[in-house]
Amino acid sequence: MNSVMWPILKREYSSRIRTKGFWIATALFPLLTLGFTMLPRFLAERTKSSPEAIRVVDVNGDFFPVLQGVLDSREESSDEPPIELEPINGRSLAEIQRELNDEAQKGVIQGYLIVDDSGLEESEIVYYARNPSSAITSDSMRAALREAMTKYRLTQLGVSGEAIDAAVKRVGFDVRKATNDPRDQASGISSFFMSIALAMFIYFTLIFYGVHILRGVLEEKSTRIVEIIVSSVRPFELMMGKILGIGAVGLTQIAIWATFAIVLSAPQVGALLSVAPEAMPRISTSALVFFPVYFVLGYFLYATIYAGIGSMFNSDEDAQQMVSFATMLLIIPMMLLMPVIKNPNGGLATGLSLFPFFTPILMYLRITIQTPPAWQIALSIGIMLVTILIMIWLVSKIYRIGILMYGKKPTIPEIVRWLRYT
Amino acid sequence: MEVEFPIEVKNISKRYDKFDAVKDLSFSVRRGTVFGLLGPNGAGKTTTIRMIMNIIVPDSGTISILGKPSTDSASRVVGYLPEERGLYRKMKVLDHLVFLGEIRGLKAKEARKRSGEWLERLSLTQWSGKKVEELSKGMQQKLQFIGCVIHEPEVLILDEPFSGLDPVNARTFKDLFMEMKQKGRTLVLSTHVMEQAEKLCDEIGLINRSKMVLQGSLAEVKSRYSGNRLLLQGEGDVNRLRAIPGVLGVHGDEGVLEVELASDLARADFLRAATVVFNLESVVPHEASLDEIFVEVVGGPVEGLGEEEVA
Repeated sequence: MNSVMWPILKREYSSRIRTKGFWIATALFPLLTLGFTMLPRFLAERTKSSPEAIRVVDVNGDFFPVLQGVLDSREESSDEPPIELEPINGRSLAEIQRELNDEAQKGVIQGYLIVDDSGLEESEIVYYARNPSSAITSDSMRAALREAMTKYRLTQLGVSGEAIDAAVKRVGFDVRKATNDPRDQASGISSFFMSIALAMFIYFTLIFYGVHILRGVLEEKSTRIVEIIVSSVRPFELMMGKILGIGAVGLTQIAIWATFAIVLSAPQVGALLSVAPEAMPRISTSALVFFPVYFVLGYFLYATIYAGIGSMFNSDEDAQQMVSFATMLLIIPMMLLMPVIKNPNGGLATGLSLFPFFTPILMYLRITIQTPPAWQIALSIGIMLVTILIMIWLVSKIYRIGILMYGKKPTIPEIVRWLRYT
Repeated sequence: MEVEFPIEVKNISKRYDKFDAVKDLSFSVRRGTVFGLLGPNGAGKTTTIRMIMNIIVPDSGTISILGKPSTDSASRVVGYLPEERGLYRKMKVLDHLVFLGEIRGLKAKEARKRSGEWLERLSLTQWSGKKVEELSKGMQQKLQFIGCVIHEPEVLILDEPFSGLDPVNARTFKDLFMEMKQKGRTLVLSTHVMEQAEKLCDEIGLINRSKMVLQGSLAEVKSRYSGNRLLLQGEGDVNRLRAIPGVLGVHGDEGVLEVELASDLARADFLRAATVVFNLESVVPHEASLDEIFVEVVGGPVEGLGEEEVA
């Protein structure tokens, strides 16, 4: 390494590591990530455990006990709204419906089921819901009704209770990965979440450290220290020293997180492995090996972009527009996670993951799901390296001029002109 | 290696799309002297200095520092105090100075030792563990100066070194500059404050609209622009003074009169004639101030083009 770059790198590293902000961020980031992943689930739980009941209008009075039995036997019965029998009390069906509609609108009940003779005969039961789009309720209700209906009919046919239970025993269904390596046969659902989590992690850290670079460059400009430094250090060395220094901060932070993650989760992992090894979410070897590769490549690409943006402007506000443009390059692949997960080796996924600005997130995502052909991995790394070199070359030209530009916000044509200056 | 002219600038030009920032500029600075780069705002001083510092590259022309072309390594033998100067606000004072020493090629240990000495000398020792932002502006300016000289440069380039200084610090700085000069260092300073230039400079170069319009030693330039003026004090009829042959004009009514003579030779004749018609108390040859020369050459206050445009 160039000897002049070293003090720059060292300063960037030590001045950041020593701040309270660094340690707060280091502590807060995992908590926030945990919060972001848990919050939707938590909210879903909260909305699901709505206490309002579903009323059952059972005209004959012999279907309700069967349905009640089915719902009671369910494992996840706590998530279900309770069901109640609506007493007929000599009213007509139309009268009952009118009253129940009112109650549903008032929010007293979630909805009601009508079970009458023709319904039982045709196997058709209608669920009148206050909110018909509440998929959770209607899906689980549908399954319970199907089971109850089967049991009801078998009882009507004179089949014994035990025989019925044996016949309608629920089917277990699990998804595993088709691979000969038994360690990789992780539960499909947990690897799915693991893939998303890793993609999110790359996304967040690239933005996080990118903004650090941006702020650092803006600070040097606004405090006017930059001119003192570039008299001894070439702008290119200043830029690279900064990128490498903050990159080292990033790797330190990730190392801290990884250490804590391993230490804190070791007991649970050990317990889970001894009880149910197949439930353990697994990171494949390739996902582990390629994480640093794509993180570092992505970091260099985006750090360079953010450094360039910082050099062009004099304040956060001025830089905002260009920053959102750079952030957009990271948000787009996040929005494409689902199509890529669904068909990781399809043409769309392959093409998108080879686009260098999307590669760190999308190619890495593909690797965590199903290792793509080696040539694609090699090609994506090659394209990224070339892109990084081009970006460093372009940005260093802008940077050199930009860091000495104070005053008004430059226009795009002006920035293009900087590229031509020698 | 002793070089007679540690800084030699030959025919440098720098053009931006719309205009010439610097055009065909040349000057050299003799060892152990102070060269003043003067001129109105936006004349091209900062661009010239940035080219000397190799921060921007001239389109044409050459610059040599201590006999070598101005390159990265050459800039290490130069101490540079830019016009736009600042510090990392969150860094501690001593750490910051060590950092500045290191980027100028000092080992961390040596940089620490010299920083300590300088802090002591400028009575900032008790601040060395404080953050830069806790210091007053004057103290920060002292730190910037220490950063500029910590590697004991042969050549100092100071761009508007007095801007923003209070009178006490301005004097401290002036003394430090004079001390550097006495040690045989070579100084280039740019300023648009002529009083300071007058006190410090051995030679000056006046830049206006990107060109060097006036250059020479301070004494030479002054005598060139002083012409034949005498300042008189005394009593008598001003009109009779005006009537003396060789007098081009008499200005001022009471107290001090400024008499403009046609040539040097007329001075003795004039004095002889003047004693007859006028009760002279004192006669002093008038010396033009740099300020007057500046205004005369530049032609009154010039609208600054703004250094931002020049960069």
